[in-house]
Amino acid sequence: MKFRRLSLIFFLLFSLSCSAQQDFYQLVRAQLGLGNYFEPSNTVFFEQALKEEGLLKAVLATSDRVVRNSQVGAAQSPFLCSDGKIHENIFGPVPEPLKQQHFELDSFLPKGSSRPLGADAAFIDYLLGNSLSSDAVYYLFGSAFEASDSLDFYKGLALYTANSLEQAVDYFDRVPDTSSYFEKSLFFSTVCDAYLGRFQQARSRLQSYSGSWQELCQYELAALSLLEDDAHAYRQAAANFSYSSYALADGEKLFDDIYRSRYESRKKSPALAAAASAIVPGLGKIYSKCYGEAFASFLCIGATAAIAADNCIKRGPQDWRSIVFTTIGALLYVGNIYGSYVSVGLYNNYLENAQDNTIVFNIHIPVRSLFP
Amino acid sequence: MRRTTLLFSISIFLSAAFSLRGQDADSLYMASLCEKAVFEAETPRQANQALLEKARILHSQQLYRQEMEALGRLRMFALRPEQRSEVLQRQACCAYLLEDYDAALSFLEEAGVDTGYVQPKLKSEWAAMFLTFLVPAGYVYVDEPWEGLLSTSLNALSVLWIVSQISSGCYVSGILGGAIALNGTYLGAQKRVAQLLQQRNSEILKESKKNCLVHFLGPHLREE
Repeated sequence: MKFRRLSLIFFLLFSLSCSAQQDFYQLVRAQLGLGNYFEPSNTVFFEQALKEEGLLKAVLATSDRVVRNSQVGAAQSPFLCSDGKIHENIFGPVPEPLKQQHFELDSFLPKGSSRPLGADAAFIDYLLGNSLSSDAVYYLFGSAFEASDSLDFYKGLALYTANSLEQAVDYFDRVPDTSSYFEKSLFFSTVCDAYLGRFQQARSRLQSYSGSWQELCQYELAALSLLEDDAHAYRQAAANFSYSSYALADGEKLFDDIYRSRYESRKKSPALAAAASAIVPGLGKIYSKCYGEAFASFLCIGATAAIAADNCIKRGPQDWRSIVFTTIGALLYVGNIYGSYVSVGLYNNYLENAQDNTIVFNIHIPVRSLFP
Repeated sequence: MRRTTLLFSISIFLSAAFSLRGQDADSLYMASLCEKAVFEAETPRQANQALLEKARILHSQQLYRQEMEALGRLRMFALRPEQRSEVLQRQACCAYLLEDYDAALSFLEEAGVDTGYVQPKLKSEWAAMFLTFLVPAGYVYVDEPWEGLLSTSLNALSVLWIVSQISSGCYVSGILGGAIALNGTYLGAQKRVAQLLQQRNSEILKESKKNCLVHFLGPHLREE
């Protein structure tokens, strides 16, 4: 009896020290062949969940995540990113950060006497057309050119091509509406704002436009409406689609498909997923198309339940082992119901994120082909 | 023709002057002026001269990837054989500094340098796999005895679990729980040893390539 108590105390101390020593914990995980398929790690996730949602939700969400964080759980997951990991925190999927370049433009001191840009336009086009956009930025900011609308446009275009979107918008905005570069600047700055997530700014920019590229303007407005989740505004903008312009037709059809899938098709029910998982562990996950997670949940909960039942029958429900395994089993079971409920929303979030990326990409395509 | 030559000469002069001052923005601007000389070059030789100058400026700014790209755009047919070899060695140097040793070796081979590189003897995957059937032996083979000790303890705990459960009549817990535990500890050890072996072998390969490259690129690298 004394030995059993001592082993229990040793086991508890061992578990505590393992979780306290992150490196040692990772080392033990490595010996068990357990990979980490989630970013951030379960520990960080639990801390965040505890802070944001309270103890109960944190425990349930983490227990579900522990089951999902396995080779079987992550297999065929629709949420896996290109780096082989699932980027997800307590609020849902974490979008990959936009990779941007930043130039120290103030450090360039233009040299020589000012000259017009005109003679160098061909050289700038050559640089931009040959993936030498950084050289274009250095040249435009290092040379002494006379101030002009074309210079501001080319500076904006060079920064945009070099993936420095915030700096590009500053220069596109300087092009006056009387300039022949105004329309190009307007649509390029709209693309930049869409990538940067500044949808309202992009919308107000387009709403003030009254030029000849009306269909392109409505196309961009429709895309922004989808990004802002505004179905009414989308219908208004899409009413102007002609579906006949070579540069816009494909995008218009794609936006219509996204609109139908978001607002017209029947949504999956989180309550139904939770109920299905309560009847058969993992069934709710199949409903939300997470097949690997479903299988992992079924295996884990089934095995824990069998071990708990065996201990209860052979040793009695008062025995500490029966209590431990029943508690673990119950935690995994309730965690799976909670996880199934959440997984429907999570699946929709991932789908919407993927659709948003497609929309932003399709905002950029016609602008590049109409204003090469 | 005269205009291009004049522009090119000015570029070279300015680049020398500014690179002495060591100002980043100025140097990068000079690199773009070299690119202009490439754009306006009338002969491949002029273009090559400008590209070499651009590569030199980028090298002074430690922008090795961009330097390698500039060197890669040289019109090789317009270079003399010894210049070609020199360019390839500079590319190898850039690749070395970017720790891309495979690329560096292939540049050297293209330059006609007999590196005499022989792949070192690597630890055998088969030996590791068979030795891991006896868990600590596999870990000792990949030079991680302490991890081997940890893995052995975990395996011992799994076996202890099975024995204690079965001896007290809990057959389902013993067999099912034991299978799960051994799946983690025993097969986990196989997986971990394979991972460690891969790490060790790639380290050995990297080190041997690095040593070989240092021998041939030494004079170039000493100039840094």
